[in-house]
Amino acid sequence: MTIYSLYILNKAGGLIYQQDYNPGLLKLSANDYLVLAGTIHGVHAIASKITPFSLRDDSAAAGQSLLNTNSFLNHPLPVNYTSNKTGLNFIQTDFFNIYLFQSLTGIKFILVTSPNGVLSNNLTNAELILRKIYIIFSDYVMKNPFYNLEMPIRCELFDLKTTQLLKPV
Amino acid sequence: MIYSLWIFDRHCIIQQDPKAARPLVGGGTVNLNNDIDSAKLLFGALFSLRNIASKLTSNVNIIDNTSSDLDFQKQNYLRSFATQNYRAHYFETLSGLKFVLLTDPSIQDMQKHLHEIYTNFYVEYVAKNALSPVDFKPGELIGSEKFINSVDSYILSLSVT
Amino acid sequence: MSKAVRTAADEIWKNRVEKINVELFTLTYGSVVSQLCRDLNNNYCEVNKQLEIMGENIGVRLIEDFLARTGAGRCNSFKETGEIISKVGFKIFLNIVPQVTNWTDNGKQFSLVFDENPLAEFVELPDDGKAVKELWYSNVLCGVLKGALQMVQLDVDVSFVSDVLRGHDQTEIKLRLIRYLKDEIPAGED
Repeated sequence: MTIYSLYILNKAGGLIYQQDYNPGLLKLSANDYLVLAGTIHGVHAIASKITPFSLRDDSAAAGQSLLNTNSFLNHPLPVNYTSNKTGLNFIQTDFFNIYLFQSLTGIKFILVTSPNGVLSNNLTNAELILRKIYIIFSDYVMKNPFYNLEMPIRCELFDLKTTQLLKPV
Repeated sequence: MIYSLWIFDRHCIIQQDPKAARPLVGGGTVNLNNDIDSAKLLFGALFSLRNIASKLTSNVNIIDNTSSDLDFQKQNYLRSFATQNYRAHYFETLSGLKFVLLTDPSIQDMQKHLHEIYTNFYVEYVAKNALSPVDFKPGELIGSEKFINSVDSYILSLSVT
Repeated sequence: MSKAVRTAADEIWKNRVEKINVELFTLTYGSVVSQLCRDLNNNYCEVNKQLEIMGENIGVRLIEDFLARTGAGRCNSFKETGEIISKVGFKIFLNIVPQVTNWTDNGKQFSLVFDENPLAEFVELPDDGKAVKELWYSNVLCGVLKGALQMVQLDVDVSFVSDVLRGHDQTEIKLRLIRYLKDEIPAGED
């Protein structure tokens, strides 16, 4: 599974980081990327509204039980918790897959990868990669005192570390 | 477990409303859950995702080895999208018909089933039916009972296996 | 349940946290507070406010580090939030575990009681009569808690109740839940 690119969106759905790691996708203008990010942000929210009827009545109970089993007090060691219980988390097309991870603070990490392989394997792989990116983000972006929250990310160290992680030489 | 099936025609009009198919209970309800809002949301989401898919790969050239002089521009089609609670499988024909199947997230590939619904049921009972319209008016739904029954039983047979 | 949390937090503290010299930390914080006092002409109310603002800036960034390192999910209740803050949050960042006490009946307010405070090691408040009455030396902690909880959609009022530096028996911080910021919860959560 090759990783094509990574996008990071802030709470409002604005694109704050975009990077390509391997060739395979078209290069778009900066404006196009912004529109793309906004679209994904919107579809992510819509996806939670179109849950099938038979799931909807149970959603309160299901949500509750999910909360209980996933609570930190039950799984104290780091768990792949994603604040994405009903929103979109995966898109599959002929040429690429998109994995979404949303943190508790509303930041979305979007990974575009190649489509091959067994789906469930790829899902856990992608989730692990997204968690690692989140850790790098919290280190090199959040702890940079000159970085303004919700603004585009221009931190060289973050670029360096993510490139090291996603594009092994 | 399969939750519902939607069919949109090329003008974004719902042809068939979702059937809440619960295989355990047996039998679905057709055209009853007339949730227009849900349909609009679903269509909107699909439309946006299709755009994303084609925007990111619209120039991908696939050279067909059998006809070496031609460059085929293969369009990138959306296959499915998923949340933690459900997965939506999407199949689109060149004529603009869109088939969407909502299932639980563990079911991974329904493309061939959607294709079967299209070729075996839609083409047979709706397209070939001289009395059913090709361009549906807004609010008009597929009324052909044969279509509805055969699709029902097909989907139920899928859910049981 | 809480024992498992404690051992997990211990494990994270031992293995995943970089450690620095506590004196360096104490001295740095001390010079920040004393410089603030000089700059603001010993207007201790203003100093308190500035410390809280600094804390908020720290808190909104620290929460991402906390979430990324622990993979923690949403808490089911404010009580759970209190437990996590004291047993995991403080443990990871300051290696102390304050006690959670004084729960009100509606479960919306509790206090953290500190038996040690690394920020205030070796500190004595100045003898000008005003400091002992007005300055909350570790007010940055209140800001950190407020900013961090705000980023996970909890509007909490955090303030000092008592401080050993001021001559009280114990150091106590009160956290009061004002409301859940429901409209800011990211889409996709119930």
